[in-house]
Parts: sequence; C-alpha cells; structure tokens
Amino acid sequence: MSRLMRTILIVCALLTGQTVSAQQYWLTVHVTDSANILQPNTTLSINKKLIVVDSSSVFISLLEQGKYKIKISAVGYHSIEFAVNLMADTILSVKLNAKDKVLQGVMVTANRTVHRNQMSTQVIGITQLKKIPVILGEIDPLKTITLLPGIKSGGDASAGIYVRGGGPDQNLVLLDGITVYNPNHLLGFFSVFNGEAVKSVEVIKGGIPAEYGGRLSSVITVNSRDGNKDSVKASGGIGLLSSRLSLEGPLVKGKSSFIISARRTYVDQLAKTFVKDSIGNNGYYFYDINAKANFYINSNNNINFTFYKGSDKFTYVNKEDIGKERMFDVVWGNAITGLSWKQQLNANLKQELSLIYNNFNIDSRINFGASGFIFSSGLSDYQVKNDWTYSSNTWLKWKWGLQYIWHNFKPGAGASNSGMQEFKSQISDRHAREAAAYLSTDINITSSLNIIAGIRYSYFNQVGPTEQKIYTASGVPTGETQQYEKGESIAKYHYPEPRISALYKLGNDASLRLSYARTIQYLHLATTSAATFPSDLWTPASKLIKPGNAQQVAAGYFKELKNGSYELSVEAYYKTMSNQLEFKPGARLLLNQNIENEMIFGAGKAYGIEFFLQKKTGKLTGWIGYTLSRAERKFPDMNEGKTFPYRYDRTHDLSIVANYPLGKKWETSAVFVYGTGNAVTMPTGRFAYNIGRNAEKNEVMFTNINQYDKINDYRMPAYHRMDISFIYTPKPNSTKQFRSSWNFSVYNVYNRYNPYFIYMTVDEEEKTIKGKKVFLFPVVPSVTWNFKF
Amino acid sequence: MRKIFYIVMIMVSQFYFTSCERDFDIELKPNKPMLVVEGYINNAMREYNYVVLSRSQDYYSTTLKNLPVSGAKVTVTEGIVQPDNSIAWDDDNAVVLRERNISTINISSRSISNGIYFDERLATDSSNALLGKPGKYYSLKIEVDGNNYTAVTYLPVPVSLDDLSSENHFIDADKNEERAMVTLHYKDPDSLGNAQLVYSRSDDNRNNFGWGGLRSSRFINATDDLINGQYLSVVVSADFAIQEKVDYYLVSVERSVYNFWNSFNKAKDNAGPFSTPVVLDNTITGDDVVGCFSGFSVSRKTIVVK
Repeated sequence: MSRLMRTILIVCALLTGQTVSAQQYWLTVHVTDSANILQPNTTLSINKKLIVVDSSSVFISLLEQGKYKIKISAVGYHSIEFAVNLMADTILSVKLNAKDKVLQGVMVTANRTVHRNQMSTQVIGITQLKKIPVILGEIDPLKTITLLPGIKSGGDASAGIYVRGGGPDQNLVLLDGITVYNPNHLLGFFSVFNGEAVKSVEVIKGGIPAEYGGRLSSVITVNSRDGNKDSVKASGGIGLLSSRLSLEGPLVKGKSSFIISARRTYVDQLAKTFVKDSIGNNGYYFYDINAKANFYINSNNNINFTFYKGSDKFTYVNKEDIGKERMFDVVWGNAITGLSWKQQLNANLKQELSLIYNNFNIDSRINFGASGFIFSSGLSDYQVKNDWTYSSNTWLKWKWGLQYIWHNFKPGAGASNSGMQEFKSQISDRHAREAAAYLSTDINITSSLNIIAGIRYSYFNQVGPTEQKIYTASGVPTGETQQYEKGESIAKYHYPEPRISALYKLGNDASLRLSYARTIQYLHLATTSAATFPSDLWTPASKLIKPGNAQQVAAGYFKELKNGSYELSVEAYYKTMSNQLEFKPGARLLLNQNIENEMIFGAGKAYGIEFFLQKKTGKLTGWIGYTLSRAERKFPDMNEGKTFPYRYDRTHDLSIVANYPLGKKWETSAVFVYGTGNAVTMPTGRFAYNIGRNAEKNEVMFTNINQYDKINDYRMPAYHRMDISFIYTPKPNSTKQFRSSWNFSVYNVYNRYNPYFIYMTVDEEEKTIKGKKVFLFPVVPSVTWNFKF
Repeated sequence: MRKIFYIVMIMVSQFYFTSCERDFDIELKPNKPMLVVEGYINNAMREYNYVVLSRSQDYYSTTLKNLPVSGAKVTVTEGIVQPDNSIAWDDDNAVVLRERNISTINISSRSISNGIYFDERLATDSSNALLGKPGKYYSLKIEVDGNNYTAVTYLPVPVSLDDLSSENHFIDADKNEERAMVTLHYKDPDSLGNAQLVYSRSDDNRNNFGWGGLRSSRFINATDDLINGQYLSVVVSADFAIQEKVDYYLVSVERSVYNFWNSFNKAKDNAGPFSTPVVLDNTITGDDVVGCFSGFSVSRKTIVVK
C-alpha cells in the first residue's frame, strides 16, 4: 500500500471520528447457544441494518439513545427478535435455540458473506462436514475444503492441498490459531483433525489479512469445538477403519468446560486377524487426541487451553530366512499445546495473548541382518502471540499485534552398526527466530465502501549455534566447516507485507471486492513425494535458500439472489511467486548435510477465474464450484529454462455438492468432482546402459534407462468421481439422552478407475512395452455408526 | 521412503478393496535420438578398458537391446596435471580404440561386438594394451557422423581393500543350504571427498564380461561426507554359498563419476510406480549425448566364504 493511501485512510478516520455525539451508549450483545457456547458468525440486525458478528460472537456498538428493533439469527438456530430502549450502557446475553433438524441449514460460508469484506474466503461448518460423503465415513475438514473453487487436492490418497497454484507447504494450517506443520496422517484421506472435535473450517485463499503470515498461498483455520458447559456428554462413531470417542462437560457449571476427543485406526489389528498371509507382521496404525478446555474467569476474561497429540506407527518385518531378517519401524507425529487468554479491557478494546508449543518428530529404525540404522528428524517451535482489536465506533476498527517464534530444526541424526563397526553421524541442528508485527484498519469510508488496509512486517533470522560444512558448487565437501556461536546471525531477512482489500456494496444484495496481498514464507518443506510423508523436512531460509515471496491480486463480484436463498460469486485472481523450491529428481533428503545442493530455485505464476453458486435454503441445498485456471513454474535449471505447467495445474475443476432430506429419518448428500488430470513427466525414449555379456545365456546384459524431454508435458486422464451418502436417524424426535444415527456412504459410485499414478513398463522376456495405471479406490461402500448421549 | 507409503496403501487396499493395476494406453511424445557413451579406463584389467557407443530409441520400439553405433573414431589420451593445474596431454601416444571382435577376451557374442571399441593390442600384444594409472587424467575423443564428443576423467589413488570376512550366516529355506554375506574392511582416506563403487564376481557371473556383467552394489557409505577418515566394515547385501569363491573390487572414483553412477542407480528404478524422471549426470561434452567416461581405480581381494 502506498504511503499516500495510508495517510488518506488515517486522516479520514480521524476526521470522521470527531463527529461522534455525546448522547450515545454502548450496547453489548453476547450470543450463545443453549449449552452456553458462544455462537460465532451470527447475523444481527438493528432496525433492519445487518451486521455480521465476528468470531468472538460478541457484538459491541456505540448507538444513539433511543429504541431499537434487534433480530439475531444464526445457521441452524431459531431467530430471536426483540426491542431495546437504549438509555444507558447495556449488556444483553442472548441464547439461541437449535432447530431440531438442521437440514435446511446454510453450512457453507457465513451468513451474508455478500457484505463481509474478506474476499476469497469460505467457511464450512460441522453440520455440512458431517453430511458430505467421504471415504470410509471419516469426516475430514481438509478433504472437504477441496470441494470449494480454487482449492485442489492432489488426487486419491494425496494429502496435499493446492490453493490457487501454490504448493502444499504454502498453506498456513491453524488449529485454534496454532500452526500444524504436518496436518495429515500417512493415508492421504485422513487429516489430523478428528471430525468429532471440529466446529468449523475456514479457508482464506486471497486477500490474506495482516494478522496472518508465514505462508504464501492460504490460511486454513480449523476451529475446535468448545465443550458443553451444562452437562457431561459423550459422542462417537464406529467405522470400518477407525473409531472415535469424544467426552465433554462443564468444569464449572455454566461457565467453564472441557472436551476430549480421541481416535484410533485398527486396520493393523483387523488385517492381522483376517488376512495374515498377505500382511505378515507388517502393521500400520495412527491415533490422535484433541483436547480443549476453556475457563471463564469473568465476563471480560477467558482462558483457553488447546492440546493435540497424534502419532503414526508403521512396522515392516520380513523374516523369511533366519539371520536375514529385515525390519523397518517408523513412528512420527505432532504434538501441539496452546494457552490463550482473551480479555475484553473495555467496550472498545480487547486483546488475546497466546503461548504455543509445537513439535513434529519422526524416528525410524532399519535392521537388516546384523546391521542397524537409526534415523530421526524433527522440528519444534515456541511461539508467543499478542493480538489487539480496538473499535472506536461502528465504522472504524483497528487491529494490531506481535508474533515471535523460536524454531528448532533437527534435520537428522543417524547411527549405524554394520557388522563389527559402528559409525555415527549427526547433522547439526539449526535455529531461527521469526517475528512479525502488524497493524490494520477496517474502515467504512461511506455506507457502501469498506476498506481493510494493513501492513505486516516480518523478520527472519537463522542463528547459531550450529556447524556448517562447506561444499563446492558441484557438491564435494571441502573439509572446512564454519562454526556459529549461540545467537550468531547466519542469514537474515525482513520484508514489509502490505495487504489491502476493498468492498463496494451495490445495493443490499450485491458487492464488488478487490484485494491485494504480498506474502512471505521463510520455511520450505523438503519433500519429493506427492503425498505428504514422514520423510518431509522443514528447512529454514538460509544464505542460499531465499524466502518465498508471493503477490496476489483478486477481484470479485458477489450477489445474493431470491432474498438470500442463492448466493453467487465470481472471482478472478493473478498470483506471482518467486524463490520457489524444487528438488532434483531422486534427491536424497535423509541424512544429507548438503541438502541445499539437491535444491533448485525458480518462480511460479498462477491465474484463474472461480465461479461459485450456492443454494442456501429449501429442501435442496448445496453448491456448484467451477474454476478455470493455470499454474506454471519457471526454473533456470529445469526444462531448459522454459516455463512448464505445475504438476497440479488444473485447467478445469468442477465440484457439485447437494444435500436433500428424504422424509424425517433419512437424508442424503452427493458430491461430484471433475478435474483436469495432473501434469506429469513421461519418458520419450530409452537406451541400454551398463552393458555386459552374460556367459551362461550368451547374451547381452544391460539396464534400460529412460530418456526424458519436457517436464510435466503429459496429462494424466481427467479425474472424476461421484460419492453419495445417506444418514439414517432411527428416532429423529427421540427425547431420550441416547441418540444415534447411521451413515452409509459410497465412494466412487460409478467405479471410475482414476489413476493414482501411471508408468511405463518394459517386459524383456515377453518383449512388450506397455503403459500401466494404478488406481486405489474403486467403488468403496462404508458404514459408520454415530452416537451421542 | 515412499515405498512405505506404497506398502501401506497396498495393505489397506488389500483388506478393504481391490486396488488394481490396468494396462493403459499412454501416447508418448516423439523422441530425439541421443548418442549413448559408456567408457571405462581402469588400472587393473586391460580388457575392461573399452568404450560402448549406442543410440537411444523410441520408448515403444521393441528392439530390446542396445542400438550399436559403428564406424566411430575413438581415441584415449593420457595426461598429467602441471604445476599451474593445466593438464599436459601425451598426444603422441594417444591410443585409438577400434570396433573389434577380440577372441582372447571371450567376447565372441555377435550381439556385443558391434559398437564396442577396444585397444587392438589386446589381441596381439595384450601386455602393452591400454591401462590406466592412478593419479593420471584420461581424455576420450569420439568422432562420429561428423560430430565430436569429448570427456575427461581422473584415476584417484585406489583405496586399499584390507580384508574380506564372511558374516551373517543364515539358512536359505528355498535352497536348503547355508549362506553368508561378505563384509568389506577398509579405511576411508583422511582426505575428504572420496567415493567408491563396489563390484563383485562369484560363481553365477564368473565368466561374464564387462563392468555390466559384474554384480554391483549400492551401499550407504558410498561417499565419505559423513564418515571421513573412519575405518569401515561394510556388509554388502548379497549372499553366497559356503565354499564359494568371491572376488570383490573396491573401485575408487572421482566425484563426477560417482555422481553419474549414483544418478544411474536412481534412474534404473524406472519401471515401477515410484519411478522418478531422473536424468543421468552426464560427463560427456557434445550435442545430444549422454553417458560417462569412468576412471576406475581398482583394489581387489578374494575370499572363500566360510
């Protein structure tokens, strides 16, 4: 944002601020549900003027003395209407009653997004998440958001999320404001977020506000559910692959609560019982635990505690021959702890202070006969964050804050004992400081024009103590090392990140929006696989690795149709990215102290147009999302320096989601997705190498090596699939404590063989050369039993 | 590591569904033919100094062997590094390699005699045929169809293979016999930047010819970045019968040659689901060419497995 623009905004704010009259009072409204849980994204109207209440579900406004008609509504709840005669500062607590069946609810996007000045944003609530058919009946917020335009999944069992042409490491995934580094379990169709614990998920894919930073492409916020403040409740589900259980209740009745949710897969146990022959002693499982507690201190102070721990364990044992046992064991997982204090200092000012610890670790052990090999790597973060909001009146709001992260990177330690000899090696740990400060203002310049303008200033400093080995350009160690003392600067970067978005209302039901954001990313994910995988290493910006830098402009038109039953949006975006990182094919990531030698750097570009039409009311609800886009990369050392399509470049991407109730006991949902195939590199030719002569067979021995030409020049077939689910509630009107429902879902209804990967194969015996495709999921039915008491 | 992912996917899919593989018509782009160069110069076996020239072909071509390139002019020249770091080439004694069928080295198979270039003296005066010397540079010049290609390689000081021992005995259930693995004992030189390749010859490849006819092993200590100067005992993952005679070749190479064979090892996993588009780390200069001129400093030891 230019300095002039900023000055104009501040001057406008000051001038108009002086007109506030003295006969005004504060009206404060807290909106909760019957369990005393605050209801975010509530719509409030005062004398028919609509206001969307923010995520804290507290509305505060300075109003003239007088009579007001107030109407409060929220998705899935009965609306409340009442009158207030404002003669003094007033605080109201409003409880909303849930509708018995939440079938007609609007679950995607907050109410009246048409007037919310945060473009390129979508919210999905848990009710919608629960309806969407997913593979094996596991509710998954991360899989579900890929049904929205501009957000793509890599395909079946691919964990990566690609937002507007960005990479899978460019999404800031937050669980209650805490960064999650590896948001997936090994099987790509499971994210670490247990559906039982989730309240809603929000994605910001453009115009990222100044309070967020550290990633280039998007912010994915997963909000976990608060526990019931009145009574102890349990809920859970039993599925084919995993089961989950959740327990919640009051800590102090009506005021403080807790919720604990746990989940474990049992594919290993079932497989050992039923198909022991093909599985052998191999096994895989994961578990995760989500916990949250909130402590009510008084009406102005709240403390929240969030905890997550999850782990995946994989074992492979082959002991067919005595003495030749092969064993491979790997365990990895995240641990997250956060404590936040929310304080309402006065009617205008509130703050939130958070302390966060975050840890990701992988340990593996490989045994082959008498030889052993151990490898471990990880990352841990300590973070402190302080955010402030100041609203001097209804048309002007300020936000500012500070964030500081201390990163510890453990790129890998290995040890081996080979026969009589052992060797140990250690790659030095790395440390970095990441800090940011931001200031943003949200201002209604006229009744139709709203601007949110902000600046974020971020700073990154890789520091000692560490030891770095010096290599030549061709990757040969020189034998020299460079020692860095504790706190000594190794590489330092800092950038301003201006963010601005504007909303112009066109009447009461349409708006135009425009946004610009610059984002900087100081950490890169080192991975060579399409699926996020335990070999993934997060590496800090260094002397050689420059921080990623992205700039995006987006423009959109939003319109409500038929009194808000339909919502239509069209958005176009253009994004450039520099200092993008790729690994050389076959790069060795583990135990490589010169990992930077395996990296190549280049730039990226993405542009497209997204259409979204949602039906929010009536029996049939759902949406259609379509994206026409292009994502490309340009690296001097790849493809002869010419531009090539990004692997996940998807020209066409279509998602259709529909929900429909079938009487009182049944309801159904269906999803259809279609996307242009991934761009992959296929060989053009081959040649024989490592030639020798086999004396016994009297023939030439050799190895076939593929010859490649252009990168990502081959298109996989289009990906398309339809899923349906039926939810059966045997006693929908039951007043009993115990309630249950069945979820029957069918993944890939018409049994489309979407290729997971394709490859070429040469059969030298048969003298045939063929293409092959491997697909993972044909039609997959599943059933889950969910309960609540 | 990605293979774990694959195994788990298979495990899950075997249990819940039938994940499948199907033939699939892949229309590949037309190929640009390249000259493929496979050249060796070593200090131990004169008949293992040769150059194979061939051409790459369309992926769908069913000629499942190398396409030899005949009629090339191939020259190898020895060079010594000068005090100013330049290399003085001994052009007067340059050796011309020719495409000959040399019966004495048992390479009579017709399928290999075309496109393989030897020092002719192997047939007539084998004790004076080309042999590499550690510490010297070698240049390779190829002239074919009016195009010129060049490469230079260096023979490092060979790392001495101190000893071999048999370890890790086990009973092979299929053959119902006892077998064992061999451990190589050697000291990595104190200087950093050494790299080795390992080849072996035993009963099942005793009479094979060529570096491609030997068994080669990839193992973790291939470069000394992490283990410089340590005394190493390395188990190679190949097993042998008791009383079997096994020759091991510890081959010291310069880094560019190691990088080539390292990329070759990655590129040869090219037929499976996790094949990655690895391009070989070519050491040959010229247009549309791929390959390596490998300087091998060999240290050899024999063991009778006990």
